[in-house]
Amino acid sequence: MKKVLISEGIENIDLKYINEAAIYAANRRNIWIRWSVVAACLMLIGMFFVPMARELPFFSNDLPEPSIGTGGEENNVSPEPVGTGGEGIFEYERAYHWKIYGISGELYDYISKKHDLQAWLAKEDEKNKADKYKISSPDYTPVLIRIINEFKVPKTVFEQFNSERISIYKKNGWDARIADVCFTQEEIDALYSNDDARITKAFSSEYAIISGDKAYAPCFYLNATDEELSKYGITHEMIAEKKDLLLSSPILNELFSDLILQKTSVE
Amino acid sequence: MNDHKIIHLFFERSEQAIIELSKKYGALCTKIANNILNNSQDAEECVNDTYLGVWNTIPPQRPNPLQSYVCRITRNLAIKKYHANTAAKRNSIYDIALDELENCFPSSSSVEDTLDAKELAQVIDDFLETLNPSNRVLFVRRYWYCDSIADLSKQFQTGKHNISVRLSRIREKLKQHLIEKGVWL
Repeated sequence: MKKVLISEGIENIDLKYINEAAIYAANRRNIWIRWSVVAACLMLIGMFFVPMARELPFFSNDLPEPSIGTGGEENNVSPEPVGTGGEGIFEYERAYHWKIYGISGELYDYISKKHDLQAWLAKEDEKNKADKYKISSPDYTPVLIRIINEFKVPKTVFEQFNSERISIYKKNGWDARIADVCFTQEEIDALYSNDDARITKAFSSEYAIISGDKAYAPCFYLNATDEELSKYGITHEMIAEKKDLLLSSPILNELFSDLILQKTSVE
Repeated sequence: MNDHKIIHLFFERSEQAIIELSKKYGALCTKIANNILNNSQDAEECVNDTYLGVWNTIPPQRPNPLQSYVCRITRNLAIKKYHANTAAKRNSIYDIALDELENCFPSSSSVEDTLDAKELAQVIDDFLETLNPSNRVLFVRRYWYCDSIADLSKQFQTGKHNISVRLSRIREKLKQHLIEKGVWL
């Protein structure tokens, strides 16, 4: 019994220590991996000129092979939207629901029949590296909206793929997830409306601040200068109203609590 | 693939989520399970049960960090299996690690009368806070992850003897801490 108690006591130690030990071990291993990679890269650079090196796979601008719908299978649903425009914390960086920051595999396949969507997405990823185009930027338009406009995707086609996806989800008993990955008719109408107010109404994240017709991500309003906030009509009171909600998110609380407390205090 | 994307796949109920989870954390989970069970077949079953456990809990949960969450499920399952398997021979790293720790604690009746598992965890948390990061990680890797001395020696890039001595000193500090906290009566 004593051992059981000790085992359970150890089992219940704070998660932060378990994580610390995991990260520490990984980092120690990575030191050697990093140096090995650096050494290998130096050797390669020494062997080839840079233009030749650009031909190597890891210098390529190609997007990773997306796990998207290949068609034909009854239950095939793309597991992940393509072209999400970077990695990060959804609640923090995105002003809108994450499902409009990528496209479904079905739509990807459809557009790719006529256009080089992969190249287009690669260019978008390059743009995302510039501050102006970061997904948290107030001027950023979610990629799904831009794809629909850029490639002139007919609304009927979008509706058809969406309804097929809904039926697959229903058939598999995944009803609870439909709202996360499929669209209501109202949302589709908003996507095709070219109307910021309708898009904001349909998709704005609960963590975002709505000012005028647009929504602004926490990453923007928590880090913006007074001048920038003023430009987009965001007041300190509007930010302060988000305090409890932001802190109620475990991930935001853990990573940004200091910033949130600092920015949501109204003097 | 990063953890957010893996969790995203779980939320989509895509079986790809399991594949990505196993790619990223399968080896780590297998190691933990094997350290406790000392049986590769049992460890494999345990890891598969871990995937099912993660599948059943995400959503609604969105754990962060995912790694610790997955490790914790694996460890729980492995220990349950260990206790359930009455024929298990006492030869796993888990046994050895528990034997090491047992000497830090008072006799059975005394410790169980004094506190329960959660209170003990809090005492251990307090103790861990007193250690420097390196010793803290060493303690957790040995007694939570059940890493062998040989593995720890590689991780910390030092000799096995050095690891054993450091662990012994940490345990002595733990014993002192338990005395101060009144666990030893």
